[in-house]
Amino acid sequence: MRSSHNRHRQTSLLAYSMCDADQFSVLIKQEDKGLVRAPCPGNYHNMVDCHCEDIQLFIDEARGLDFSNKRVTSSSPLITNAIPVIPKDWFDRPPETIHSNIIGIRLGDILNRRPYRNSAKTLLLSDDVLVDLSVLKRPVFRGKKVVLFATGIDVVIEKVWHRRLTMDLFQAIATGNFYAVTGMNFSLFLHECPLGHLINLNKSLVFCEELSKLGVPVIPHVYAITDTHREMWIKWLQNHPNIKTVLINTQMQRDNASVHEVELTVEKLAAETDVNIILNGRQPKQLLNTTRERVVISHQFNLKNQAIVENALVRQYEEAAKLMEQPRLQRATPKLRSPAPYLTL
Amino acid sequence: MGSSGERKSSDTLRINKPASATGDGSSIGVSGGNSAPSPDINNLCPIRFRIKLTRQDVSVGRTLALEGNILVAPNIGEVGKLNARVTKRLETCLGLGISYTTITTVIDQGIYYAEFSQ
Repeated sequence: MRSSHNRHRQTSLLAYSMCDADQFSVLIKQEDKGLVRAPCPGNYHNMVDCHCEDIQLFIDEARGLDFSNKRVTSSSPLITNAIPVIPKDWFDRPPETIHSNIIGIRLGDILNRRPYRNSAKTLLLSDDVLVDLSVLKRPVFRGKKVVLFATGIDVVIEKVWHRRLTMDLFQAIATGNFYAVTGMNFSLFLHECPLGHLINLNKSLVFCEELSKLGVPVIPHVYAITDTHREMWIKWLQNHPNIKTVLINTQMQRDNASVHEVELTVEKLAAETDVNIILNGRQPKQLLNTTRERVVISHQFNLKNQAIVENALVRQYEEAAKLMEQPRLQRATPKLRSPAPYLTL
Repeated sequence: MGSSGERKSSDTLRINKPASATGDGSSIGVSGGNSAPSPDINNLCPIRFRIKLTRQDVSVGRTLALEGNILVAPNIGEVGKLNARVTKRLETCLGLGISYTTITTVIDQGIYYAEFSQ
């Protein structure tokens, strides 16, 4: 049987002494500790771990480490077709340019601030970040069912999470009348602290739970990089038959080990639950055909690249038009090409 | 942002401590309460930041020392100086238990900097 534990069997036995995560929960098994490759640093960098001195605060914030007390009662739509995630270059295009009735938008597109880089190129996000739904009034969204992909880089999602009360995050999202909102993709990196993993998984579920209390349809975000995680998700989903679709963000899964974990997760979800699985990003190549039927792809479908090309053509037209107005300059007129027709999905 | 094996170097941050308990018995800082979160520690004490050096002949990757508010390179001497704002920032961060353990020289577009890293 394929499993994370088999795959990582050769991971150092020293890992058992690198991580004290099992002191915090029986959910963390010895084999999970065996996947840890370096002593937990306890430095709060991108993730908390069992060596952070006030780790209990983070466990409490996630309402504990068990999924069973996270209840999502709102409806969750069954997604069966690919969802194009609309890049901002397309927001002012007519809605007919996208055939799909259901389209996606990213969390970063409904925030009033964008990340910026400091002198050392490190990304930061301003403290006055707020939800700004005015983007939904742009032409491409007219008459569409919009799924909010509440995913993004750590700098964005951790900031929004930290300021969720101040920015009235859940209520603000609820006013957007989204067709559904996905869970947040709090990071789970291979070989890091299993306690930190559980905290991040539970934070994502708490995000869904809070939206659910406001009646917002949710699509939980399922990260799983150990067999323990997968078993927890299966059990939770079996207790939540109202959840018809889940999401896995696969944009960062570039190495074989990460892709393998996605394959294991997708196959187990397909075999032991009824959910459809949206893969936001890359699609693993080695999925079973029976599994593939339950997988829905979601990404920008090259829309962004096309927008760049089309914008360049428009600029070319504009420059040519200016030259035509100045015949005495006798400049060579650039060869004109028709703009590419809008892509329809 | 991912579930992979490697993080993006620019997407690094320090996880903020949760808002304090609301006192109403509910979960901390999630669904209610009036406790405002503390300011984002990353805006005050970013994981990395740079200071422009006054000398431009320090080899890249060299470790620097901080003596008071003077940046010193071994065998060279003073290569830069922190202004009052940066000095104050370092003191504040230290008070919060955050120290910059590594200071190295980097070059960006022909300009030499001291890069402070937590």
